Amino acid sequence: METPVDDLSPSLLAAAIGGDGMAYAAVLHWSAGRLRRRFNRLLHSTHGIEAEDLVQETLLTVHAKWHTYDPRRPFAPWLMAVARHKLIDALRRQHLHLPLEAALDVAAADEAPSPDVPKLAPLLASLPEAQRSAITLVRLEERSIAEAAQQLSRSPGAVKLLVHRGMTALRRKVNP
Amino acid sequence: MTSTDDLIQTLATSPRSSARQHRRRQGGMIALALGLSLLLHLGILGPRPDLAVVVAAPDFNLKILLLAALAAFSLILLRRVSTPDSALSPAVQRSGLLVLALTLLGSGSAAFMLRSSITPEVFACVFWIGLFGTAPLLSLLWLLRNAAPGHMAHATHLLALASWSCSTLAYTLHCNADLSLPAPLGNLAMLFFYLLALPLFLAAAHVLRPVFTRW
Repeated sequence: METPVDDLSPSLLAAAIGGDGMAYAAVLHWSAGRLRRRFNRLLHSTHGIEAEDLVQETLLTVHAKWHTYDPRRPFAPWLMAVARHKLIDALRRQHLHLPLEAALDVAAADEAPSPDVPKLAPLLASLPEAQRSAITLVRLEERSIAEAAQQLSRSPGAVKLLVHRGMTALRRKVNP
Repeated sequence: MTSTDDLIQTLATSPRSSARQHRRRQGGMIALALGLSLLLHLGILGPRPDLAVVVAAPDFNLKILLLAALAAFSLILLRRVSTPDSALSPAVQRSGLLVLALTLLGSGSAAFMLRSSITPEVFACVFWIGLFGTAPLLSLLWLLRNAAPGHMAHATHLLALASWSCSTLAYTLHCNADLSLPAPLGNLAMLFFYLLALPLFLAAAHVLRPVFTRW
């Protein structure tokens, strides 16, 4: 059963931090709902990883590493950082690589209240046109370098360079 | 596997450590890193005989201050990056690299200018800093083990820098190799040889961090 709240109440979080077991359970329910939505969206096409298993694994880690949460900072980015770590671990166990959009999506925690955790779309929009187009074609639409090069009227080497530069810029924006 | 609701009920009634306990433990690990460095260097090698005199020398103080500042900043930053949602900003990374590059350049130039006076004994510092540096390295690894660093590369580099600076700071109180070098560049030149131990710490941190701090 999930706690029917969209936003985590600061008083509930404060009570959980203060040691209130009921409040802590409510925070975990809220986190489970958030994690479930996130993992279901990211893992629908990835074989071998059950989103619910990953939710439980992340909750166990949240419990084990609860002391590393700094109450002065927003909770959702911390939760999503733990989730991202567990997701990468799970994908590595399956010898899969984390797709850029998944990594950015998890790291971005788009419903997070923190203004320094932006959504993917504005991040992409902030890139120069050439880099944005190259990343959209190669990484999001999974076109080959040759196809992207043809569409962008550039050489394959130039497309690779644009993707590399764009990805570097995106990583810097997500983890400044 | 239990259902998620059952798991949550179990977790809610299980003990968990608080942020305050965690901060206290981290403080303890940092104190242990510094304490063990001082104990090993000064207890086994002993303080330099003229320590009471050289503490008044500006070039010696500059060396101590620089190493103390590096130790303080790297320890503070190591604590900061030990949470899942923290990483060093590019400005901090650039500033850190700039300080290290300037230190390497300045001390390297001094060592080059004094090359005719340098004896092979000065290289002993690499051995002792590396050997006794295992104590702060392990203490700080334990600090990371109890935490959850989100940016592993940053954690690894800071682990190496903090361990090296703790060990070097303690070794500086023992080392009198600068006496054989002309003042005032002797102390600056010695800093270059201390820096030669840093790659050892980087290599050890790269090997040990993934083994001991997975979470």
